[in-house]
Amino acid sequence: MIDEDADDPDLLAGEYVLGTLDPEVRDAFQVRLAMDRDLQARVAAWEARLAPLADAVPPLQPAPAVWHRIAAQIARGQATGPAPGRRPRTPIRPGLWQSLGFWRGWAATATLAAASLAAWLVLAPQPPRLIAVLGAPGEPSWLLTASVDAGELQARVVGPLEAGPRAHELWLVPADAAPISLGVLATDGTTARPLPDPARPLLVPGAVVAVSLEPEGGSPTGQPTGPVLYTGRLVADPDG
Amino acid sequence: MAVTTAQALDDGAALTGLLTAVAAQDRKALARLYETTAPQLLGVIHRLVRRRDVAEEILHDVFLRVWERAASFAPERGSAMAWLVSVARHAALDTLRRRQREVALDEVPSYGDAEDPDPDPYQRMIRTAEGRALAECLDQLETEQRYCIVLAYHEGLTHEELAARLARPLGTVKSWVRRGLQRLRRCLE
Repeated sequence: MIDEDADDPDLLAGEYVLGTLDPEVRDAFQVRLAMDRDLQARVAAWEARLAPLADAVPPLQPAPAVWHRIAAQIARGQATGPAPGRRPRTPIRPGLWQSLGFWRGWAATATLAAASLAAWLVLAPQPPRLIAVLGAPGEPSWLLTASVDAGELQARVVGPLEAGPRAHELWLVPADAAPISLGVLATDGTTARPLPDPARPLLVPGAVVAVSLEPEGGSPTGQPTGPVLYTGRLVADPDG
Repeated sequence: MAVTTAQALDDGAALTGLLTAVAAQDRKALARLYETTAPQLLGVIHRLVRRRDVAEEILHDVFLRVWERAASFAPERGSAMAWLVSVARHAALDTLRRRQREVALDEVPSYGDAEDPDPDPYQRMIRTAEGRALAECLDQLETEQRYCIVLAYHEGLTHEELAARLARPLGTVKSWVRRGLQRLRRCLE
């Protein structure tokens, strides 16, 4: 596993923009990025520094059909959409697919049998339960189970945790909006918590969840303030 | 369609204005933005994914994303073109990384479809002030550092792929990249 805390976050941001991070590190970085405004500014600065390199590539004229498809899709008002098989039946607000579209490239958590789960997802119209394994690749620390219908989630400790007096706070990390707190978790056994209303429509397969280290009692600001320790992605529970 | 990116970068205010209009869901502005920037963005995407059909598919997604997310462009953080390039590159990199995970190694895209190598890419790059500054700073790097950074940016290689391509140990390549980035950052301050 990569010890990211030992790394200079600005150089990591540069490597992210450059594109050299290996897929797992890139995924983890994107979760941190969604939760960290300072990191967002660093990434923007690297994008500005390196952007002139794009000019070194010769332009290519797209086929006319490309624009026609874009214009037609926008005229129909269905800009970003998921692959057809992934659309759940639950009606959700339109902004959500933007987020899904944005996160579409993410890989499933390496600790799960991602391929078979993905195949199952395509067939499943409406997953009753979602699960996520949070941790570093190959080192699960939490097992999260969310039942959107019942409006409850459970977080079970399944591996060694970062020790210390500080609180472990769970977050739902939407693509285009601020993280939503799902509450502080007990560091042993199982924590059950009600799902906050704003989080419910965003709890779908593919959604990103993360645990950050916060002052006792949870983040004083309502937004993550400490380091992100564990991340994962929700998938439909095949046994759910 | 004859507008080059270099001119567009010089004319950053016009692009910023277009993006602002796109954020307000002005379709004509999106059409102008596409006309102005799509060829350069397609060039960048194609260099990364190496397949024309895949590149055009990604370009399509990029402009839908731009249509939906133009409001998140923050002019104080960088130019409109830098923002568009980053949306395009991340979309292409996501595709590349997904393919790496899902496709067996022997199915990794062939390079046969690539355009001829460019005789002097820097001529295009140094038409803007930002491009000249970056080119000068790149010149000050050691050859390996410069090579790693330019190759990674244009071809979307990870540290591991760079190491394989250059037949050097992973740790060596990582430190070339990092030292190169550090020196670039200092030089561009």
